[in-house]
Amino acid sequence: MKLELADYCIRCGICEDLYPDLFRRNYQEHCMDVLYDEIPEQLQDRARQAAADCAVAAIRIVD
Amino acid sequence: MEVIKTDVAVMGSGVAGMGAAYKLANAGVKVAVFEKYPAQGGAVSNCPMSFCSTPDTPEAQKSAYEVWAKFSNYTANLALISKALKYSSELPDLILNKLKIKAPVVIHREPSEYGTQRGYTMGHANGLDVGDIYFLEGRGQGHAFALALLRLRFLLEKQGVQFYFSTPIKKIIREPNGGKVTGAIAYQKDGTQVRIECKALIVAAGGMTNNIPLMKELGVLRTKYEDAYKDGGQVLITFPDSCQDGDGHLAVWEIGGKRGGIAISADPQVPNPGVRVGPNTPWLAANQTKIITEQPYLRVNELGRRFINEEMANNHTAISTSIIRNNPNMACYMIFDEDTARHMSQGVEDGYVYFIFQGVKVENIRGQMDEAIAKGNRHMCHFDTIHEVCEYMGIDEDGLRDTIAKYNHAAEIGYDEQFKTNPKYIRPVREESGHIYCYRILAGGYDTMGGVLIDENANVLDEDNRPIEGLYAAGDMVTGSIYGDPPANAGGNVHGSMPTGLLAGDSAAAYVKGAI
Repeated sequence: MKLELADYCIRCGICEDLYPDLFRRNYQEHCMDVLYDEIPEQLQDRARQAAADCAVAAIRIVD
Repeated sequence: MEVIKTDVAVMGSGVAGMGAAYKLANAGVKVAVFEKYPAQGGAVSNCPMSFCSTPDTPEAQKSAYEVWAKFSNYTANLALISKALKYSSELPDLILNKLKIKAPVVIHREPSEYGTQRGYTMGHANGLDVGDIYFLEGRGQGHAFALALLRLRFLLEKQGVQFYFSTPIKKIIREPNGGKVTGAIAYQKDGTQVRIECKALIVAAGGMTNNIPLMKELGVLRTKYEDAYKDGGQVLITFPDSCQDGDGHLAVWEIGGKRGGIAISADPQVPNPGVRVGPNTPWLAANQTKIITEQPYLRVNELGRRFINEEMANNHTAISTSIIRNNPNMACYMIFDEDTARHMSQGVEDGYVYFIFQGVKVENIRGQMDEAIAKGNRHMCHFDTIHEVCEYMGIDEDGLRDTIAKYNHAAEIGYDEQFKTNPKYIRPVREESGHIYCYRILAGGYDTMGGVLIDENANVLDEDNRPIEGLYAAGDMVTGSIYGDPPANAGGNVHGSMPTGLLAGDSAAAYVKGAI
């Protein structure tokens, strides 16, 4: 599983607050970073929940 | 250097800039939006779950006008208030119908009730309490305005509006000798200069919460606790890295725009860490700190003196403004003893909690504090003695002991000579109870308000109160013109920002068409 962030992501940071093991704010590029290229199996349920929690549906799951 | 030609350029894509672009697009005017940030939204994307709209009836408009005019102590532009309120009546159609945002709860209010709410008990503070209140359904854990503005962006792009993200405007081009505005200078991400040629420019660049040096220089921030105002401290709860640096203010002032007062929008905060779950999102609370610190119990400043009737504890405007104007270091301290902690564990005071938390009980305050303290929070403490609390928090002990003696006496006789606070909220502070608790509360908020002043057409004013031709402004930066100068109001500012954005859009459209 991979996570992609749409370019329209508003960088509000809800994902980092709730799932700091998956996302981190990137101050240099003014964006959010996904911390894994491939989401580890033990974090995949959290990744799905992160996609559901996003304010603007900017987190996409790519299987 | 790249050149972009358009009828109207808009600086900023928050709620005000997007509102302006919406009107311009509908008027058939060519519009380009320049945004410093990589995405639209501005301060509003981190805030509102609701908005207030004044219905377009004579009774509602008149009542709302009177509330705002009085609230501003008549320092607002009263003709602008009248227009902004009229535009606020358009919000439900735009947000609910055109942007398809659901409002599961709508509170319709009688015009005679406007301005009577004390705090956030129904969702809006008294300064903004001038109409019906719409509570919106956001997606996931987000608040709805993030989604609303994203949908508005997509809608506007379909209508031909050009968006230039990561392209901040830094200078306004104005003809010499007080002439009209004809363009602006922006910069692309790689540093390439962009010359914008336009017939009108709308500045809707928000506040300056990302620029602490500028806030200090302008006297907006005066506190030794400035670290708490940085990203993640969540005293300023615009999201981190917001890029709101005051570029709009500086550009307007540079070409002769009048300087208005600036204040942090009023929402008192106990800083992170350990108060919110993370550094970004103000509504994801890690504990009950916000609920505790809105209870109407003793609060003092660093001198140990009371500074307000504590019945105003949930009135964000009153508390925060009073902290800013009257207290050292923009700070106050809520102090209570073990008996009051036990009292809160039975339930918080009716009306002193955001309506969705009515009836809540505050459990294990000491444990909540210890957890936050363990995460590095130095803005709360609990000790056996008042002396220890004063030493830790930097409160004048003599002053506090004198205040507590008078406060406890007021509790005993049921009469508060100083503020006439309702006796049922005067809870004595006694070391004999076993423990003393204290929170440091700073004057925080969602954004800075004010700094640029406009007339009733959203035209930017010069030092002589004359409109600068071709230059308009809207949103948080012009709130002095609708809430009073310097502005004092609480919380998110959709009610002010979107109407002034809509007004600026209509006015600029009329101007470029030669109708003004």
